[in-house]
Amino acid sequence: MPKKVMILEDDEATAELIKFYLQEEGFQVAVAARGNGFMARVVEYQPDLITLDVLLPDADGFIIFKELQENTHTRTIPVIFITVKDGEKEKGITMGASGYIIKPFNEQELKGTIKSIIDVEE
Amino acid sequence: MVMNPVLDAPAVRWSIKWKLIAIITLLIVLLVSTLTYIQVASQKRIMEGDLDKRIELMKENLIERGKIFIINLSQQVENDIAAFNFSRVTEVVTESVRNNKDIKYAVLMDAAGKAIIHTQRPNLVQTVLSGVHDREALTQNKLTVLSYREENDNVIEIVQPVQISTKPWGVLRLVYKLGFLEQEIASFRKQIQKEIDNMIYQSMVTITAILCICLVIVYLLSARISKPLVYLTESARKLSRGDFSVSSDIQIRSRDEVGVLSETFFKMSSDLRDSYQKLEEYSKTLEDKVAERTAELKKALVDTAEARDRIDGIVKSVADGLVVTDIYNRVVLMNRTAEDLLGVRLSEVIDEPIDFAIQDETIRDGVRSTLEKKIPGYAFDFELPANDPKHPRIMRARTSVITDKQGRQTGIVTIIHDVTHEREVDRMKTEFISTAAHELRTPLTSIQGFSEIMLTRDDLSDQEKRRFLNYINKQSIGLTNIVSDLLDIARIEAERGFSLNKVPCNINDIVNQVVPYFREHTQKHQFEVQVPEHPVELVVDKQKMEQVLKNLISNAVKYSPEGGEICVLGRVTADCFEVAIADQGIGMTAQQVDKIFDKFYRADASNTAIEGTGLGMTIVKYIVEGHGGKIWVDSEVGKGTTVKFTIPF
Repeated sequence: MPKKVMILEDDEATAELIKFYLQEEGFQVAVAARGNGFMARVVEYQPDLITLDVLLPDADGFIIFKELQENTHTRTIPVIFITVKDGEKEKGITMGASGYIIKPFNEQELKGTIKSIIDVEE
Repeated sequence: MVMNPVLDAPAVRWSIKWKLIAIITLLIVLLVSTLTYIQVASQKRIMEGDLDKRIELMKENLIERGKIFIINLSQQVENDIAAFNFSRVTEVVTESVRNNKDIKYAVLMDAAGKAIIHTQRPNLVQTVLSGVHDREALTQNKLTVLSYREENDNVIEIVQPVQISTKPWGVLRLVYKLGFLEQEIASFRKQIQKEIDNMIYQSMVTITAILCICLVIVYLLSARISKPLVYLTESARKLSRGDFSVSSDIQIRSRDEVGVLSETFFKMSSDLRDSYQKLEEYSKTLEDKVAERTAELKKALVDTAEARDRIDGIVKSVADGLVVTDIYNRVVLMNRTAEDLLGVRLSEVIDEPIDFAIQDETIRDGVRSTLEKKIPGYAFDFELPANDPKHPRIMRARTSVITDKQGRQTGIVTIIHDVTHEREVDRMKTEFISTAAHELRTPLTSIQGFSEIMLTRDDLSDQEKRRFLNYINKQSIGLTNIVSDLLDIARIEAERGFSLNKVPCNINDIVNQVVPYFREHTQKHQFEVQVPEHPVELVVDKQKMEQVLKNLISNAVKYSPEGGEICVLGRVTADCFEVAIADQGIGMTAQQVDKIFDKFYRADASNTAIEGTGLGMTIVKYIVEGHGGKIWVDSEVGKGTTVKFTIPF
């Protein structure tokens, strides 16, 4: 059973790119573009890893991360921030994120970070 | 220059002329009188001497005649007595006396002194005469002449002893009157007096004549002496009145003391005139200099006043707050802006220590440390409470040491500049750069990623390739738009404005071209487009007009994330074409609306996920205004926003 990754990314192209790289690594990938209703989708999908964009049209990635941490169903899921916000890496890590990737990222950076957190196959 | 007028020129009271005349007159009178007196006296003496001699002669003559007479008479008497013819004696004697007028009387006395005959007093005959002269005569024994005074007459008595037969018998006395002599003397004296009177008269005439001559001479002489003196006096008076014309008209040519005096005087007055002229020149020069200096001084004063006014004006006009403190940290000066910023009035805090005058501690510390550390000055920021306590005003204060010419510190000038807006702009710029970077990063991420994938993956299907290229292309367009916005704003910043390429176009066409693009890209929004059915021709820059519509519609989409209807309405008004873009989005507060056209402003900065550089509205405004139109915004939080703009025909 491949590991599942959920992507929260409002930019379609970026979401597709992340999805492409992760699918190449054999992950099962789902994409969400909006903060609204994201929690429900996470609970339903039960991913093994979540990538969060920080700047969303209707939400703040950090707030969503907090909600995830506070929810018993989601608190154990490791989270990686993938964002253009280069000044808040420390904040993200301090909050408990497993990774903080600044856009534009390269293939190795993304794949390496994710692989250091989870293996595709357990 | 005004000379002191000679107020009381002394008048000549005793002129030399009259003095001279008086003295000379006195001298002449004295002289002539004396001479006359001496002459008269000596003349008188001589004449008196003559008179005496004459009288003597007459006396002697009388006596001689008397002697002869008495000798004759005594012989007759002796004879008669001898003959005892006494009657005859009496007769003879009486007759003789009667015939001789000169004889006053005759007396015949006997030896006993008994008067025999007394022609004057017959009563005394036969009496013994005992008078002094009687007895003296009786003692005479020879012819004797006696002279004495008797009964107020000078008389001469000739006594002849009478002898009878050589025996003394008695004496015969003849008393002669001297009356004729006295008559002679009187007439002579009269003559003398007459002569003296004549002499005195002559003298008087002489005196008068000499005096007259002398007076004329003295008068002429004194006039000759006093005239130049009077002239000199008059000249001196003129001179004292400042009339120097006298020095040039020399009228006195004599070589005496007065001439020398005059010459000296005129020399002096000439010198005086020269000196006075020099003095006048000096004083004129001096006056000129004084006037010049005064003018310079006045000008300097005016300049100073102007400079002060100018500096005052500058200080007052300075938009920044200005506080001047002295080396004891007391407030010396404060301009209006500083008063307003610090909430005090200079009149209340002048000469007061800053601890009292200025509430803000940062400023006080800044001023104090500038003074203590002896640094030229430094800048620091501080906050001032504003109406909105969340957004205090930010002030930048700069202290500078005031030094005098000697380089001594005299105080501190503190300039307070309100940097709230600058900081806001700075903040917005920083945010913009960051946002712009983010905006660039997002498309770059996918462009970079997909292009790399296409370069490194060989097993991509055509469909995949096409999809990826499509992403790259779309994101490139996004990048282009961002860059284009940046360039536009850079142009606006540089105030070069837009170069509008205006051509006539149908506005309906533009609207109809832009809207479908958004229809394709969003599913949540419904687009309602209402434009006039007939073509509306406007002279516009077509590309820029498209940019305006795209920006506005894109904003409408962005700020209505929940979707909804977006209306694009175009209508013809009296003189322009009006376009309205209305959404049903999140809307804005009035404050946000106020700032919507500011550069880098984003309605909700916290919501940075909404794409955009924050330049869109600024650019739109510039484009619309560049076409001579207007743009305005109506918005309500939660209800949506309507942006309207007009383009004149």
